[in-house]
Amino acid sequence: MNILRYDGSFYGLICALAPYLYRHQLPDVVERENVRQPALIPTDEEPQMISTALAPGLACDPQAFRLPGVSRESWLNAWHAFLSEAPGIETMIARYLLLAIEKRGAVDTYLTDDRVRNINRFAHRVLAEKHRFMGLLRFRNIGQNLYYASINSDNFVLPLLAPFFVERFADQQWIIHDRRREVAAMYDLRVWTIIERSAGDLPEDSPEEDAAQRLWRCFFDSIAVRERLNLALQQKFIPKKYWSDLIETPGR
Amino acid sequence: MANVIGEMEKCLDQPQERLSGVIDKLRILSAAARYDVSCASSGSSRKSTPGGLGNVAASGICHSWAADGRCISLLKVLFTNHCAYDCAYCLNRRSNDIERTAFTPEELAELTISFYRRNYIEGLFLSSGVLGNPDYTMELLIRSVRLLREVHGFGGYIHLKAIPGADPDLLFEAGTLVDRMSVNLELPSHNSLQLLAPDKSKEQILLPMTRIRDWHREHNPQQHRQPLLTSQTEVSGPLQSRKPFVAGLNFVPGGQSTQMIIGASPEDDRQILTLSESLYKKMQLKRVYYSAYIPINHDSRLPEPPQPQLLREHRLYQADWLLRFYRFSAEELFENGPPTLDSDFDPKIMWALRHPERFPVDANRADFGMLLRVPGLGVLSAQRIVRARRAGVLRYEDLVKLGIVMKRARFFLTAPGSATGDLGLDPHLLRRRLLASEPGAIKPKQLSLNDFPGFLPEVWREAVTGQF
Ligand code: SF4
Repeated sequence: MNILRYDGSFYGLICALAPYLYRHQLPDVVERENVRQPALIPTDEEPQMISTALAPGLACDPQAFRLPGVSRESWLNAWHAFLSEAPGIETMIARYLLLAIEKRGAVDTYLTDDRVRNINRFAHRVLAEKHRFMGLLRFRNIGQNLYYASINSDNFVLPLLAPFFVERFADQQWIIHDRRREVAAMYDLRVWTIIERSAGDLPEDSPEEDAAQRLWRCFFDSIAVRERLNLALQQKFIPKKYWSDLIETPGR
Repeated sequence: MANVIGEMEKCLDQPQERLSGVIDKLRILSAAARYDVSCASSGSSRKSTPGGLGNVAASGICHSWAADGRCISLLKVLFTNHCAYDCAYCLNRRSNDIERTAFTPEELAELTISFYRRNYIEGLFLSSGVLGNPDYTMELLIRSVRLLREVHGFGGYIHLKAIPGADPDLLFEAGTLVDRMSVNLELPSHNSLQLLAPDKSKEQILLPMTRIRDWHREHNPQQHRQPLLTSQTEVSGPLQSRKPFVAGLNFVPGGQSTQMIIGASPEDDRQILTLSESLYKKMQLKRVYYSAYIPINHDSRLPEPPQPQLLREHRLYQADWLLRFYRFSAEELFENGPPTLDSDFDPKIMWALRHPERFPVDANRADFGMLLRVPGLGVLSAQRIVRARRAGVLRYEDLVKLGIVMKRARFFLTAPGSATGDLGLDPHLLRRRLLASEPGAIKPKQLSLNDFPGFLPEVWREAVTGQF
């Protein structure tokens, strides 16, 4: 029986998987150690923004990412699907990559093949949640030019959200806290990293915060066209599970 | 309803902090802007300056959804609800007795920044009544956005309403600072405009529009060499796709939009959509917004429809979508039928019902353009079909696997394995089958005023406002 252990990161998974894929084989079991690395996939865009430190002692052949037939699009699909942390996602990724090698770059036209559909489905779920948080994430001011946001996402969207907010709020220091996974992305005006942070570690708001929140609630309530009240539609767009982390109060 | 009103009182609290004086202004000036619909923040994309604040995301981002189910993307406010004009349909008109106020440019800039830094908004949507005269008002608006861009280093999205009648130099200056400008058409014909907005002439509206178009062309040349949409690339913008921001002087990189009021004047859907089409083609507008007229001022020049034509507005948006993304022309939409959109079905089904000779469409052979015309197929579905059929013949089950909703499409799209009983139906029968297969499809409930039992007549008064 082939048991594959990896460190919990996508990079680690691919490193461990590569020898199997080269032999056109699949491991029987994939075991994950629960380590989260911001190390994602090699990217040629702004490499200095991404911390790629691997777990110490993990030897990886950089050729692992040169699997013949796996296009950049396929790598991205696989990585996005991986971030869903769905049970069995590792094996789905392995099957998808094997098919990619077999189809020599054309794998993503096989949209009706279950191996491709699974990956697309999970990747889509992850990207949809990321997009949702691009809008619904709320920063609170917790100190001089220091902002804090807390999320409780179904998928591990933090590695996708962080670069977006680095680009947007480059001149403010911020923390995005994933309470479910007990990690946080921290940006210090130069680089961002993912560190551990317990779910109960919630900082105090700064004195100015209350006034800003009040103004926002005022705007939120007065912008609704009351002749068109449609709370069902509102709730469809903002499912209840996201309400507690908002400043405004939907549903009335 | 009482709840909502109770909630509003929160805005009257007077916190001790610095921005406290602003809260009343925000309450009045956001309520005054709420009926303005042109709030999408897409159409522009801008990288942040290194180490700076703010960028513009190419895909529009909603930061919240208001109690009416509409996306909140921008801080949408009027600079002031004072107005020297007297448009019949507008709450802010000179002759109305309402609570009036104005921001200062500093207050507005600070408010925008404090919302933006907390990720409440994509940026600012700024409109205004006419304070004194158009030039003075325009200068105040420019001061506000200049503060944002130059003092606060704000790189987020700004949509500014051009004040008709303002000096062209001021218009140009404003355009170099913002992402999108709009000049509202207000009413879909010259005659209606004359009657209902006597202070505005067609020239006053079309001239700035033409100028903005020409300046935009001159300063964003790359945007005017775009091919029509293809099946391969992501689709965006009317008839042309988006290009990344290029450094240098940029004049409204997000282009211009306009808005018209529906139901206050007698134009039919065909006239309205023909006008929109020519605005897209000749004026290179990015969006035309439609706003169902809600009577708030009792005025003999105005109709008093029992309820706003929300369903009609909805259908116009759908048809407008077909013009911009589905390669329909206004003329062919109304071929073989009356000049009004079908209230039972969306305009794509309407067109299909009027053109039985074009269906069914073969999923394995039809070109991308024809796939786009199949009711139930969106741009994404059509792209998936084109891509997936390269790997082999698509059967009916495969279409389902691609995630295509066959509820409507099955009557118009054929593939090996299709149920033959669904295809080639006579339009009358098809109509009935379609109605029967999706009884909840139209959801007039969502769109009718009569469904709000606690409805207060007073709210009508606030209906249309700040239309610049
Ligand atoms: S539509 Fe504009 S110009 Fe006309 S009254 Fe209203 S705010 Fe003034």
